Amino acid sequence: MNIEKIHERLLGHFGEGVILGLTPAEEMIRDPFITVDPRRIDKVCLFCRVEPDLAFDFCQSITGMDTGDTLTCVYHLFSYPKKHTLVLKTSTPRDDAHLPSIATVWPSADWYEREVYDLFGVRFDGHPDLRRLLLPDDWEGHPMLKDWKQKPTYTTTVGPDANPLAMTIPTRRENPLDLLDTEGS
Amino acid sequence: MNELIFSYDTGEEMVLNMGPHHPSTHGVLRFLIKTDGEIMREATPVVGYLHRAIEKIAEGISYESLYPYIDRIDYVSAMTATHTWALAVEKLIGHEVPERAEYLRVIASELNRISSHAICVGVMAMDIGAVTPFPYLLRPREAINDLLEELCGNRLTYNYHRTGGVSHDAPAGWVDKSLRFLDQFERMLPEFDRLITENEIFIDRTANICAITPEEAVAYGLVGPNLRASGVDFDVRRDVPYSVYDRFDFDVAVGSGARGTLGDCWDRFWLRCEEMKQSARIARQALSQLPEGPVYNKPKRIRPKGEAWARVESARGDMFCYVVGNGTPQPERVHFRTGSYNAMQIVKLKSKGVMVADLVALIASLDVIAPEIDR
Repeated sequence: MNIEKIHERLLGHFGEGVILGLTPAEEMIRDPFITVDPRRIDKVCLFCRVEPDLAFDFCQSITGMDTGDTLTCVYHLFSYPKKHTLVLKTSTPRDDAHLPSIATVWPSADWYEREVYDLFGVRFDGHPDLRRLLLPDDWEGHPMLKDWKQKPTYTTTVGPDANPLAMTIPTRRENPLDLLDTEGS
Repeated sequence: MNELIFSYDTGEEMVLNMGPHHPSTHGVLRFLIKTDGEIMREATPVVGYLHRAIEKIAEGISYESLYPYIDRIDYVSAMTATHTWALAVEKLIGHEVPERAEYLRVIASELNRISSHAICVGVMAMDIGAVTPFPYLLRPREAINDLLEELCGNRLTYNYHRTGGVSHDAPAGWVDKSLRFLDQFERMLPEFDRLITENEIFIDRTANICAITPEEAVAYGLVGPNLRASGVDFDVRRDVPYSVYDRFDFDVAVGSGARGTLGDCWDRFWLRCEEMKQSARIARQALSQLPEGPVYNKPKRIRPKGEAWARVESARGDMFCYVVGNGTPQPERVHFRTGSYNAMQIVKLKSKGVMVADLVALIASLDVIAPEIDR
């Protein structure tokens, strides 16, 4: 099934309030995508998975993107029986980034969503275990955002105590060869 | 047997830490395992120790400079990984690749797949106690490293692909040398099967262990050899052909539960042995058909504004790359989804009720490479 037919199929079931539009393939947009209402993305995904003529049984990936005032999630789906692909996009406001979780639709989306939460700060409502995946638990901020600034120092020590492994740097000698000087030479 | 073990339930669970330093070459992996004696209740993977922010780095450098970083995503099979990025960028800017370069890419990828699977099956045998097969397979791996070093100058992280071709043409005599290697290698594989694949002790140790059903495999997004071992007949090279794979004749091995249950550890091991044979077959055809011509069609200017994705059958399965350009020399967003990433997720599900030693067999049979998970 090509993207126009999939678009018609989704539009017929959900209506224009949910399926916001189809961006066709053009000069540089090599893969057409369908934009979806962020509040209904889980329903659309479930529909794509269970309908026999769509049968999207493999969630390729979920990509987070910083698009200025909004954060965009891109869902790449593939169907093993039908061999067709689908790209869904949905945007959520940056200040209060919330999306319904699709970890119950595809179990593989569990880690995808944790990664997007970790790196972009999008909260997935209904996710069974929304913790950081790649970064340490005590990391502050979401580093894939475009305005994220690296802090000068970071230690992974958890708790109020100072890092016992941190050392004061000894004063450097003017000339390293001074070390070789021996008395009486 | 199982009932006997389960009836010996003292109810005293303990949480142990396994890793992050794994004795074999999977990279830095850590598991929190909840056990009752030898029986595992649950193993939770803790990943991120090799997170090097390659996707963030990509947003600050040009499309061409990213190739060496992609090599480090999957250092055991770097050729297929950089092939993904090359395909994504070429699709994005609509760039043609010379035919000879496509063939060289296929040859390099298939040789690299052999060496990657050699590491996987060797390490799996070693992980569960059979040390001999590992050095046995290091011999062909060493020969492939030498061949690829002659081709591109590097032994592990090749930096061979370019947008629009490859960096070097094959040197004089390289094709004959590679064909001679394949002759030798194909004679060696039945020997290897007698040594370990059909070994009775090995079958006892791996058959019926951690069987993954086809439904689970698809739902958890397993890809590549792990998916096919569960009986799902899908290979990107055959079903969604890229490069020149549609010109070669090869079989896609699919697991059948020949020595136990469908999708058990033995099926995954056997499948990789079969894939090595098929890779040798593809490489032989590509070497004998190798056309003359240029190997690099340099793109004039890479400043795309748009998006594209590409997928490649890497040694660890369907590798996915999504790239968005914003009209500047640097990409707006680059995302990779790799085979090990999905394979790692299923460990938590499949580790319930198995022995601690079988967890090692499960991880090894899934062929997990830690930097691929963390990127």
